[in-house]
Amino acid sequence: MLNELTKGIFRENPLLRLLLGTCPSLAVTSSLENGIGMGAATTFVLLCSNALVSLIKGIVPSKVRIPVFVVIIATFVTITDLSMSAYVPDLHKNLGLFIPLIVVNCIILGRAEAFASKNGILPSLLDGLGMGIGYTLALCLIGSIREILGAGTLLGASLFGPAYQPFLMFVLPAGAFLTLGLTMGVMNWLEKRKA
Amino acid sequence: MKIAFEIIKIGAFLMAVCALAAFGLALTNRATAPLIAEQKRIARELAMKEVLPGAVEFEDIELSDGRLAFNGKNSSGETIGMATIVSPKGYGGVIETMVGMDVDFKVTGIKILNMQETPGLGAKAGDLAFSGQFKGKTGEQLYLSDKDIKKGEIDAITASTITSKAVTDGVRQAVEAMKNAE
Repeated sequence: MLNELTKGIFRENPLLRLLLGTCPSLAVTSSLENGIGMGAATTFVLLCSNALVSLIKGIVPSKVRIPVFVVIIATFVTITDLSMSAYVPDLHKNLGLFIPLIVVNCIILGRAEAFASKNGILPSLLDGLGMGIGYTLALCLIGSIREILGAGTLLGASLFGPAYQPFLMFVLPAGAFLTLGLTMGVMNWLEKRKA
Repeated sequence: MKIAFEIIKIGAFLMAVCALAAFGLALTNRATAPLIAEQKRIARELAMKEVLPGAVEFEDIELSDGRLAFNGKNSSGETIGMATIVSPKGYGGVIETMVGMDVDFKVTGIKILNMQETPGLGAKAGDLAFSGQFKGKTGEQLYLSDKDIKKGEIDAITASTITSKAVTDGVRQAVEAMKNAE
């Protein structure tokens, strides 16, 4: 049972191992704060949708299961979007367009289809939590690397003093591709060494 | 006949799911809508206080071109200045900027509300090193010091002339719009 929780963190990390949800990941990881916010929002949606999909799996006609899953996911995303806008407006402004885009983040539909629609509620919750944590950690890792190199700060606090000339490229889109690619390379290397 | 029944059954199921979703969303919206409106109002008022120091009360006014502006009053009720929002086109999109000025049309402060300028380059327009320069300037001084033909007193951000020029032009337009509205 614990395996369902831990598999998403390293072995089946949704971003770095399964390569799911790369588009929003590239776009929002320009700082650690954005990584944490996006990760938390995605984890919340993932937990809710996995739980609900697992609960109703017996009564959903298989022909329309994908539309039903999409409606469920879109509903939770909209709830998250409205709540963030009401309670954490600054973070909501930073993440902007990417909160509604969680709807099309393939991690969530992927877990609903591949896991929650075939398993009970408890394993589905653990799977959602594990995948969410794994995704958040991956976003935080990439966000930290990009923020430290590209802006010389971490969580907005200056690290190297005013004399540091940041590698601007790392907070720009090109830096997102480079960092994601190199991080995946390191993950593959670690996995190979283990085997 | 059997197929028709199957289709109706599936359709009804989908409709039920969507109706439940709509119900949930309506409840969420009802709970969050006033909070969101309040947050927007607070953000706007904070920006107005920042560009118009000393003002505590604001009153909406509409300019002849339909643009929204605000009169700022101090604690004893006197009008000490006004603020308006301009959206000049920068390098990455419009740069929504709030401009405050006193009754003599001298800029009291500017604040960038929304922009998509390049981080580390144009986005420095929000830093005090650039946006602080506008304080105390009048219309004729609101040109870039070395890039505009008409020499002004605003120093452009290095490697971000387009952004600097957009903000400077926007602030000047705001001042002129308010002057013409008099």
